Amino acid sequence: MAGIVLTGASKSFDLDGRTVRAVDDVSLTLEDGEFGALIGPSGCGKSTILRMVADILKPTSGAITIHGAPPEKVRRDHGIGFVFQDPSLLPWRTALENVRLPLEVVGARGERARSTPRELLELVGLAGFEHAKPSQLSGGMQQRCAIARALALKPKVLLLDEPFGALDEITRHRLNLELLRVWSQTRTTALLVTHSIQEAVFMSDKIFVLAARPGRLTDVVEVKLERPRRMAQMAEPTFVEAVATVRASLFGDQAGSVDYG
Amino acid sequence: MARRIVASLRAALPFLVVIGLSLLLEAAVRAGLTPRTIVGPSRIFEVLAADRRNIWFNVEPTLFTASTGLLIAAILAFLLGFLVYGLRGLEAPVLTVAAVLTSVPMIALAPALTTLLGLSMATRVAITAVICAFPMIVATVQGLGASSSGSRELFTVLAASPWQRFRLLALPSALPYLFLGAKIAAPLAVLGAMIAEWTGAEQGLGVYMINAMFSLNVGQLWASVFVACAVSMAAYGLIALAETLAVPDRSAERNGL
Repeated sequence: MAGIVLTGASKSFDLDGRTVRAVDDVSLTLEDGEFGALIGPSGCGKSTILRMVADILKPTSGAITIHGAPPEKVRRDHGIGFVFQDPSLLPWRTALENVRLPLEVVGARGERARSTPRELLELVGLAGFEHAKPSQLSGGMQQRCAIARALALKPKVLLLDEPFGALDEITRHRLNLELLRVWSQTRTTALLVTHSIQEAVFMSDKIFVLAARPGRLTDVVEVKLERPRRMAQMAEPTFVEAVATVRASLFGDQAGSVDYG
Repeated sequence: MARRIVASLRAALPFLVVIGLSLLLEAAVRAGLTPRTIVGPSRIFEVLAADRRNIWFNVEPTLFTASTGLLIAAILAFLLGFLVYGLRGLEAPVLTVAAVLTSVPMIALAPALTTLLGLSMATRVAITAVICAFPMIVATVQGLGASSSGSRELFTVLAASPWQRFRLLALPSALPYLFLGAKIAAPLAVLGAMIAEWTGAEQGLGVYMINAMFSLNVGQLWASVFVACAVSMAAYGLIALAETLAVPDRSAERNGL
């Protein structure tokens, strides 16, 4: 069954009485267990699409399903894991307590097999930092903690909104590898918003290329790199080709040329 | 070693300045350089020692009025904050009314409330509560709305109930603000209690001060000023202490509020 399906999804916002179309008629399919990426320039509505899948925003028109169910039902059943650009950890809670938060919210209502918060912290490489407050963790560690929190309820889909956007490139590469390792153990359908072409290709099976104003889908690029992914693959022709394809979709005819007008 | 000496000197500096100024004042008074209505620190301590029973007799009701007024104001602020948290549309009207109320000079408000409610302890508590409510209302309203948009979205994704959202997110986010408001309000409560006592009371630090003024007892007058300062500072200190116990690493100042 398809993991995430958007059918003609659109979203308009009212800005000072003007209607702005942020997302225009986007249809896409991500299979169960696949890793997808949404890439595009700022203003292309990629974060809006992610928030519609998470049922934080409702589409103005069109339909979205997650494993065949509407996002609202999946959200209410605690089936969505979301990692924000800003880790959004609660500063008064320790790393362990932050990871435990979703379990506290669900309480006795959800009866699903869960990993313990301690195991999750271990999974993301934060063993030994259980009792550290977020302010004592580096940016990368905070984001690892946020990933562990997103996985706490064994979600049906893992949605990532530029999770490593604020980190330096070296940390970012390392966390990408870690994220793939964690993901391969859970095999959750994952959708990543990014504005890094390399990151999109390295992480994904399928890349959805978006254009801005209004935000619309212009291309879907399949990445045929074998898993588990390794850094060395970034030098392989398949990788380089995929990067070139995505770049061409993003920039069209302007790719590789500079207009000195 | 040298660094440690510098650090402890820096910590001691405010006290050294106060002691230095006190000694200077004492010297000036003894040399007869000051008007006779100003007394030296040594005279203040003499009065404090000699009149301590009478002073305590008068401080007690002031402490009661101030702390009860502060508590009532805190409860009021919390209820209003909770209301505004639930109904965001109420934020502007609530803050406007609170601002208008606090713009009325305290010294005008006290007699007005006394003529309205009559001379009683309840009236004095009410005056105190009105005077120290404003900073706490502003702090509570702001604090309960202070959570980041990311964490609010997180609670949406988690399908948290409104009560969970309040208990697990809004309230802990607000704590540093609540303490900030209380720290501003605590000295105001002491001031408010004394102003309330000026408009009519049998006993209280305000009464002691007025009596000293009308009988031209400068020693007692300055002693009452000293006690008022001490009580205000102690009130502030108590709240600050509670803050370090409740939110050890999140005080509002440290977060640059």
